[in-house]
Amino acid sequence: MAEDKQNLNAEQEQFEALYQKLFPQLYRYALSIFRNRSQLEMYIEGRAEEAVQEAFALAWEKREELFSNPSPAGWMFRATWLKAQELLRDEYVWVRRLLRLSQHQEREGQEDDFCLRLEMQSLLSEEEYTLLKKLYLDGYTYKELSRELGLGQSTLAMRVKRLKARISKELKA
Amino acid sequence: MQMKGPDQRARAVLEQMSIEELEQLLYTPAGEEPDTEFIQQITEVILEKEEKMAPDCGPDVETAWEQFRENYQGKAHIYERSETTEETLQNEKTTVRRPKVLVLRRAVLIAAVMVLMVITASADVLGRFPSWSEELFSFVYSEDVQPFAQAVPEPDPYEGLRGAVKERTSLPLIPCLAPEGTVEESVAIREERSCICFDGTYSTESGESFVIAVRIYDNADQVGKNTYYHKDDNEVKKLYANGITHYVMSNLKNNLAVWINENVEVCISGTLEHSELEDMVSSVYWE
Repeated sequence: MAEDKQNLNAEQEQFEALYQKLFPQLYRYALSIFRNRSQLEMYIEGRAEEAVQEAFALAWEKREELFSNPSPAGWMFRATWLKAQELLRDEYVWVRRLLRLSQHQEREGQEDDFCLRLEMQSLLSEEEYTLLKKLYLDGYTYKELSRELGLGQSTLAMRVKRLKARISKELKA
Repeated sequence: MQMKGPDQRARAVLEQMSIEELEQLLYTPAGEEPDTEFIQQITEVILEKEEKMAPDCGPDVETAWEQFRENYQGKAHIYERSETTEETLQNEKTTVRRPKVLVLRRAVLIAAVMVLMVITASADVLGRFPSWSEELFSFVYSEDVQPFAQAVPEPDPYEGLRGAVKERTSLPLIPCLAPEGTVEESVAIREERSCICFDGTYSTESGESFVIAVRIYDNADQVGKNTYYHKDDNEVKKLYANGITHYVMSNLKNNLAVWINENVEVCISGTLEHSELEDMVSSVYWE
């Protein structure tokens, strides 16, 4: 038991040292990925930080694999690249969906598309729509949004994850 | 750690580049794997240059670490968007990497082009630098054209245009997104002295209409010399996607986006909202 705790402490120290050493470089790399690919130019700093933090979260989970890799730094750069691609893909999908919905809402007064309205209203409440809109259309990061809503960042991330999973499932059904 | 010969040479080349040029090297084209070793070198050089320009302006690592401990450590599952990242990391050994020598050659080539650009800047040999006034946006100068038209009717919004363009180039140029209820009015193809022009005209169920104009030039150095774009005095917005700068502007009730990709110039213009236009531009590079 004491040995396990000692091992975990050693891993934690090793991991923290890697984090401190690589964070600036990985963040800079993520920034350039988002600058190249994202249409939301003004929000890239938050997105870049998210990509790096998520890459480190994955790294902590896979720390055995990370530290047994001949180049832990190379592993981290690749994880950051993959996380950034994942964030961009996710953003494209949700921006597109929310744009459709917001365009529909703007037109609602003019011509009532009954089927679409019914579909969208059954999919998400106004509060849920606002949450996703802030995240994907208004460019909030989890950090900013959690502060505004008075929620823990990971609580918010979990709420968003569940919400998106539910919508995706219903859209596929 | 002592660097080996080729690494030292690569580093020396990188150090001569501007931050903008280095950032271009960080871009990994779709379908290719990043060369992490080379990327590490590039980011090191960028950070050193930025530190010299503005000391102590880097990210706050201590705060980031605290936030990591609080919100991310042990919570990777919350931030999973798909299984792709994990699977790809596991399959790392089987994936094809970009050959480093190729990337280094690219670095040297960009450095050479940079030098050439400095030497020839006053002559504007490449002729691709955008400039705009309150009324006009252009990449360079206009010339006479000798158009002829040929209609290519297709039922699917961009299928006709995409097919016609694809016969000439494999570059990603046509959006994957179309406004709701978009129908093709026509696709016109005309030959000019140094390029072939494709104009797809579209209308939507909400009464919008727009044109996607693609000009494929014989040579990259001819791009932009035939075109002026009318604009009003609103600001020109830059959108960066796929390593390319896209210029979005308005001209009274019309909005337009223009950009250059290698030897091709593309313009989307019409009564589209700015947001629709930006969305269409970014969708050009969807895989």
